[in-house]
Amino acid sequence: MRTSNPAHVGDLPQTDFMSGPEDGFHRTFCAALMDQDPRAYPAGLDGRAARRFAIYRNNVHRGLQDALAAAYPVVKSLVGDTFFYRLAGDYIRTENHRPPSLALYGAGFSVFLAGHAVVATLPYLPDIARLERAWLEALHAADASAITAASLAGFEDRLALLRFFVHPAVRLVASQFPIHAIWQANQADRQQAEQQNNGPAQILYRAEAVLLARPYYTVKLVRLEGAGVEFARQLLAGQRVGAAYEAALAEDTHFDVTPVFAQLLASGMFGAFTLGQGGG
Amino acid sequence: MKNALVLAAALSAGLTMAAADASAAGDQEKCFGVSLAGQNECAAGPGTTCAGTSKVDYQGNSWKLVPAGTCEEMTFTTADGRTVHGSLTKLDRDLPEM
Repeated sequence: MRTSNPAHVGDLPQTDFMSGPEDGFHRTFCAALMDQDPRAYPAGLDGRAARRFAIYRNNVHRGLQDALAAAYPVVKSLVGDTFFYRLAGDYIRTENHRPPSLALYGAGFSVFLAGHAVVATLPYLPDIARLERAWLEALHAADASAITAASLAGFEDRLALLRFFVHPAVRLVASQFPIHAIWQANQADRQQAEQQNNGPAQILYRAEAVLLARPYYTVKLVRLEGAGVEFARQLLAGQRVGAAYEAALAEDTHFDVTPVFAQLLASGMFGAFTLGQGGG
Repeated sequence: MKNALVLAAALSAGLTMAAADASAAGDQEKCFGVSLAGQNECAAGPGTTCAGTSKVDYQGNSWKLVPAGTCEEMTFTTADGRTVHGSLTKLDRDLPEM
């Protein structure tokens, strides 16, 4: 029976998958599971047991690959199923430290992709993987309430002095590529709409950042560009709104704070606020 | 000083814009005691792991996401003829036998 007080998946301890308990058999068993040679089996098994081990090994590999496919659907759609599973087959040998739950498996996939030859032709792929990872982390982050525009009633004349506490689900992914547009173009509902309408939307080649928030049960994406990225970064770092605005203005003298502030506030990225005291 | 006034006006306009954004409102709420057996979304308690694991209809300790504001208005008739309501907090009724 499970405990009535379930741990949050993000809080589970990291397990050293390859070494496991300090036990010689466990170690050779785990090592054989990830051996390059598909016929490898742990010493001490006879022929029949070795054949069964091959079945078990295949199930373990397939399970990990499926977990990766579920976590990175856009990467999969960009490179195709066949190639994705080849990539995943290589990747699973590299991620030895992982949480016991598969829900957050695949943390190092973007780094793995960045070091892979495929990236020579798809340089935006690691950033798409970072975005998908951020989406997954936002989904599994602790629940917390978020403030809305209504929460700031009465502070209209002091907005520049506010500092925000960021909601635990919030992630910011910045890229020199149009990651938001690429991500959107690869969502199932968008693809359906394109088939009914006039073909794929044009993707502008530009740098984009995505802020992810999950104030309730749905992950929301906010596209940020130019100095808006710096504005968001400063707020995430706990700077006063006024200071964040100055930093954004230093990057772009034409920075228009109104729509960016509105979008960030409406995204549910802020858990609470305070009237800023002290430096910053 | 002039800049501070300009900024205050720009932020205040942002606040108004955000208030008009309906997506900022709570879209869904957790509603206990309304899901059919096996159709809960999470938290079905001891003896279960999570989504899809509630054992009985309208199980009081499992929840389902419903549009905000509709949970407590929901009423159902159980197999044995009782009328039950949804709740925003866990309920002691209709628990599976351990």
